[in-house]
Amino acid sequence: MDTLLRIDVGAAKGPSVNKEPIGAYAGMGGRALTSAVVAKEVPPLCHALGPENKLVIAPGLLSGTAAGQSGRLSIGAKSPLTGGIKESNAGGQAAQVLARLGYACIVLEGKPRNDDLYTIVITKDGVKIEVDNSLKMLGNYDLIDKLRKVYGEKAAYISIGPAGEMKLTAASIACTDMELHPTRHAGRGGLGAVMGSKGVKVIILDDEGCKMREPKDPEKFKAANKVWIEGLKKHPVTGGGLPSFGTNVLTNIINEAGGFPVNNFSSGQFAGASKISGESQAALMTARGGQPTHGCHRGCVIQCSGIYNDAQGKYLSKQAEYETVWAHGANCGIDDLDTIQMLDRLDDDIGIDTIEMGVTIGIAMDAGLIKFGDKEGAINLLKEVGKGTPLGRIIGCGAGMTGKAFGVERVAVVKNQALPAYDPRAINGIGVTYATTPMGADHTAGYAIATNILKVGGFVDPLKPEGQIELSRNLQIATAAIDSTGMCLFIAFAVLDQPETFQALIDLLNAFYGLSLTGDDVTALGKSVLTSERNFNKAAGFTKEDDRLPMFFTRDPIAPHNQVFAVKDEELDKVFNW
Amino acid sequence: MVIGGGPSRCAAGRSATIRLPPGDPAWGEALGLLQAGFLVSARIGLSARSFMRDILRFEDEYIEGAVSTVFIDSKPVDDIDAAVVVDGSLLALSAAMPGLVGAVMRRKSPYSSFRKAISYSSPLAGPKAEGRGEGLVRVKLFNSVMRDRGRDLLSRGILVAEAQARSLGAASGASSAVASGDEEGLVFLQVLEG
Repeated sequence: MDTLLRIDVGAAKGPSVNKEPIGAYAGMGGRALTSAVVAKEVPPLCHALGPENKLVIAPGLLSGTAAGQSGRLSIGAKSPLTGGIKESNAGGQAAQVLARLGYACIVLEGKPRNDDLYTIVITKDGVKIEVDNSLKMLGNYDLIDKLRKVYGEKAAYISIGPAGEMKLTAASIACTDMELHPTRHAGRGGLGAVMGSKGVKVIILDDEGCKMREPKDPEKFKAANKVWIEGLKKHPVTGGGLPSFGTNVLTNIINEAGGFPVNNFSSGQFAGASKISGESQAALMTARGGQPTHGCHRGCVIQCSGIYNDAQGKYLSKQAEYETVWAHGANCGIDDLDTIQMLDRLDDDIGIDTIEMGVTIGIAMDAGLIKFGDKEGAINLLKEVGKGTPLGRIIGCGAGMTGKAFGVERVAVVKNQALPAYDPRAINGIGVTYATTPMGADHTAGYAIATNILKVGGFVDPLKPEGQIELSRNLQIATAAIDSTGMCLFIAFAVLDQPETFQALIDLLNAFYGLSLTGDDVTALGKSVLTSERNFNKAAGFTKEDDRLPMFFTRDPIAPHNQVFAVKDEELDKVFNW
Repeated sequence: MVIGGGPSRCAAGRSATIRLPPGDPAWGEALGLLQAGFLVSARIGLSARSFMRDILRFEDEYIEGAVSTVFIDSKPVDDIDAAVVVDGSLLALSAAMPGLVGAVMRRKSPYSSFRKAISYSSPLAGPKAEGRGEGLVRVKLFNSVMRDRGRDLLSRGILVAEAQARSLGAASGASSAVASGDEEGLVFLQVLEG
């Protein structure tokens, strides 16, 4: 995995392929690598859909190995949604296959000279790029159904749907799962639009004839992996709650805490929560012959995904995740799982971010286009996006655009990216991360890992008022580092509580690369990633005023706790003081 | 007095028993009653720990090891010995949850500062407030707590709205088990395997 694959889609004689040594990017993977390439090679002031922007696709440092949970794929570029640097990651099969093919990353650059649509096929024998305009405006499901007949069942597919082709700023990039469903998305920040701007519909990865990546010290690696997997299996979250109920197990809890935004962030508790909870979802899936416990890629230990069948027992979509259930459910006043799962399928098919769409449809409801709770109306609005009608294009460009188009003030975005499923008025600390992460409002930006295990920035007294700032800082540092390993972020729960599991992760990296990393090195990596991302955004024109929540969060209390977001601006400005 | 005993039965006025075979899909709806919330008529003024142990019959080991997340009236609780269950309280019980915010909500979480504005603070000085008579407490069981303890609680009986009991009766094919009456009224409902 020491090769960088550059594809210039704007080359004079059609797309050109250049393989080069990883060079200055050696030792980087995942988010560290995508952000390093974007920060170094993309002019911060360029247009995100212009020839100067680059789409960087990178497996993690441990992808393609036998390490459990190592199948996360990072995708980076300048975001057309936020205007800043973006890394968005996805599960599915692609990271493992790309790593086994020997590529540290793929860089799509330039601008195509015409409207042709390209497929890129990567095998051990090389890279083939072909025009296939028959794929234009195909949804991801139809696209994969067509391609699997040609390229087989064992390939992994990275694709865009109609939203990406239309360059809508909420467009996602899909990765296929083990069943070749296009259900794993690098959803946030509109990176599908960047792929669309490069004229690339799909990248097909086939690692037939490739071997699993070999560690420098196989014995130590094997031993560390054993501890690692045992740690994941024994933890009550990664070994119990997530496999049994999926990520949507959070619905009841966050609703109970009053931090579950309802009807476009107008309340914090949803009367229909128990109807759409992970517990109800799992029971329904089981009753219909689906699978509530299922991995999104081979080598997944946690198995937090699932197969959701419709009332006739036919596959409809993967088990919608917590964020999707919230966004299309409570935030739109919808308490019906079949409707939410249909919206999830449409998101995946059109190739668009579920969080952004749920928040946007909530805004459309607030504006009176349709009523809160209108199930058919929500489905129809999303279908408009897929068709590319004028209304659909507005919706497909996300919450900020739709709020402006329809004169809604209550628009929950930071850096123009919609907030995820935790109301920062009830949970002030998460608001600190939403406000300050370089990615735009992102719940995963400060997700991971026990800061007091890492001792990032010293021991934090969680009872001190300033703990929220320090914790957010440290969590963002740790998360940036984890995102660079290619590990699924859900490992955080086991790592958070079990120091030996965190050590096993370090041991895996050391055994694989023959290194002697410590927690301090992990901290330094996280800081380095964040620093380069912050510098990019600053050069792109971002100021401290962009590190703020919308004012309604500090003004309008939310039920049931009647709290507002109370962290002061000057405190927010301290998050990146290190 | 433990759940399923006289006070809850008396508070309802009416009772119903539904039998479900072990694999019956209606168990999903039955357990759903527990996540939506049910009432318990019980001694109040107990600490949250005592309520779980004495009323719900959770073992100490289970409380300590499995019930990692506790809410009273939507406020996350850190100290279950100091938190007091009073008449009209809503007590919600959960296992450890994923995500940063899941971790934030746990008892004595190192991330509790993230939710300090909504954390539970006891109005009383702890469990010494025990023994203040009977009252109605609303209880919710989530995720693995619901899965682990739900059938036992259902077999002992819970108080639910008549409409909920009738809905379960219809789902189980035993609609006649719940006589029609006041939709808003309470029914003492037992769900038994067999």
